[in-house]
Amino acid sequence: MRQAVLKTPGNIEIRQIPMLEELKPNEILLKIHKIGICGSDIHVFHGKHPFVTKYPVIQGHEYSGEIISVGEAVTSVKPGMKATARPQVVCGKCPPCLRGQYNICQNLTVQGFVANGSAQDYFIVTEDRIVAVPDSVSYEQAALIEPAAVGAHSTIRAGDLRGKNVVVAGSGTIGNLIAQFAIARGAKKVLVTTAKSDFRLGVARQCGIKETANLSKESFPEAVKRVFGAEGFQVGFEAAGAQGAVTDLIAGVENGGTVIIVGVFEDNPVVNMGFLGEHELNVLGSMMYRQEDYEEAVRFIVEEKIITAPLITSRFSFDDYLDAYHFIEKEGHKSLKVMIDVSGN
Amino acid sequence: MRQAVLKEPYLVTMRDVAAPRELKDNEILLKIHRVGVCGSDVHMYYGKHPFANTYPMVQGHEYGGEVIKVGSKVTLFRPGMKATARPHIVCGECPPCKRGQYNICQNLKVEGCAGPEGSAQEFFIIPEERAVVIPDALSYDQVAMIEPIAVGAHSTRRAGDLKGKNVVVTGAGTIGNLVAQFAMARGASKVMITDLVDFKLDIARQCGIRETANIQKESFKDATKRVFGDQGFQVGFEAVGAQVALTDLIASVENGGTVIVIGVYVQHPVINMGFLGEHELNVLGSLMYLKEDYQEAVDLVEKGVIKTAPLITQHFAFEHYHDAYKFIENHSDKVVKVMIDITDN
Repeated sequence: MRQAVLKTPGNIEIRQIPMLEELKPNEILLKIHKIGICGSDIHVFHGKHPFVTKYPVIQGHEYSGEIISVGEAVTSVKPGMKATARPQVVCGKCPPCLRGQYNICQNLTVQGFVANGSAQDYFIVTEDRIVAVPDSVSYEQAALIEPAAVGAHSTIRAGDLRGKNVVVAGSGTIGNLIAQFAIARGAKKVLVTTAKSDFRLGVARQCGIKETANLSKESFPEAVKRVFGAEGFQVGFEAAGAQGAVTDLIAGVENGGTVIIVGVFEDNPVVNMGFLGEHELNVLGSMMYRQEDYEEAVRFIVEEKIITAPLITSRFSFDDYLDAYHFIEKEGHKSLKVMIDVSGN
Repeated sequence: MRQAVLKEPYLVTMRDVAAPRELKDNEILLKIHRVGVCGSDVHMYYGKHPFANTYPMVQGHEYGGEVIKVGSKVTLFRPGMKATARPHIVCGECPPCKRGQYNICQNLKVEGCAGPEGSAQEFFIIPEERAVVIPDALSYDQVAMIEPIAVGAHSTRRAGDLKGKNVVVTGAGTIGNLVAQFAMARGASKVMITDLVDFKLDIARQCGIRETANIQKESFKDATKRVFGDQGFQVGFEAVGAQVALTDLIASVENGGTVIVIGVYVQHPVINMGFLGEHELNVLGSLMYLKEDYQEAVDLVEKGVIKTAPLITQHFAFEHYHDAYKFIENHSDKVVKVMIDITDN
């Protein structure tokens, strides 16, 4: 079978490897159909991810596939079903795991970053991480369940959003999905901002996010004033990984408000601790997701509370994996989710 | 009456001002006995407080006094009683005020810091709503410590349930010391306090804080290992306002842990957002206190749970107010709380 390997930053090779071994009792064999390229994949591709420093890497952590066979102890899914799976390999023994916060396991390894990911024709996952997907959801939509689960989790981290005004800094896939989740969870008004790309704001509006602002054309305080008037905003999500976005959110959020950090920062930002302390802000990290976030993401996609189709802006065949990155490098501001078509159907 | 005024950075002068005006119905006239010099007063003295930077300023927001006279509608106070008061002037109308979070009122003014004059004078008028009844058993020195103790009360409530958790407090000044004592009072499993100055760590031990570390002599990591073993710590309080303290806490607190920021930063620090995000940390600001924090502070001082005597390292007579600052400037490693004796008793 084929496998895409990121040998060193900037260098992806498609190679042939032997078919996978026999399944263990709790394992499931997936035929991979679609893989989405994620912002953090791009960080790894460029050798700039803060934690992923060892190459080669087999990428692929947002994906969908068809269940081909299951181990003898597997009960929740059967061959022929559509599925995706969480890429988190956890220890189950550290204090966060024992508290049920296995998304921040002290020994966490993530498939596609440190452990091998799904960038190959077939892939084995364990049953505890499998998430079945109804037939009505396409393979492309199913490959977006992973980033949708990031939106599900980070909006849970923010506490009750009902009646609150929300700003999401960053209009990429994650920012878009966070904003959609914030709306689905009852936020009053949700504003999505970008530092530059009108294209992405257009996609946001196609996904039902009415309030958008391009901060190269309008200042952050002006945009906040225009959208929220005197009410201001109570919750911010940083989904850009950018100093300017952190600064704006911390300076602008209402006293006592919450800022959720979702973005990956290549350089650690400076934070105005005067505001953080004296406005008694809550700055909370949000890391990936848990099983229930995947399940909620599936449910919201099925119920069409979360719209994914406008997010997929380009498609590349598996053999052209490297071209996908070159495209993102050149046309990043005119693209959102780039999908790798592994199976061709 | 006599009044001390910080005319400009580095210059405190004594002057005579008019006797206090007539009381309104809800007001109390206090004869001030003690004023504590606070870290933020010192920032102001140096002209380096991020917010409190208007001069001239009559300082004094931690104080103890004797009730001399009360307005016609005052019910809880009678002449001869001891009292102190919160220095907050709040609007009562902004969203945080309406939520009961008046400590982060959007129009907050603080007597003696950023707003009207403080208590660095012989007599001072306070409204009953901000005054706190003090049992006679407390000394005026103790009464003047209620304000910083309330900071400890509030910040440890911000951290959520501390029972069974290991706690690190960076900074063994007055605030750090009182935060640590409160963390113990709230049932923390082990509390370690760090500083660069042995003198302050000695005082911490005199106050019953057993675990101390001088991180000039022992690395932060070694100290946490020595004190907590494999358990690590789940909550950190940053009470220094220093980059290195914040960096240590964010790098080392257990995944999913909480860091409360209390210190005042002269320069905004860099935050490792990789840790904050990927370890799903909660970095929370804590500002001053609410009325219930003052009341809890009084209660725990009266019960002997919170110890204040070892913290008071120097007394200066009212007329020598400026000398207190000069002493602090030249002997920062021998100072914790400097008390200004407005009266001799």
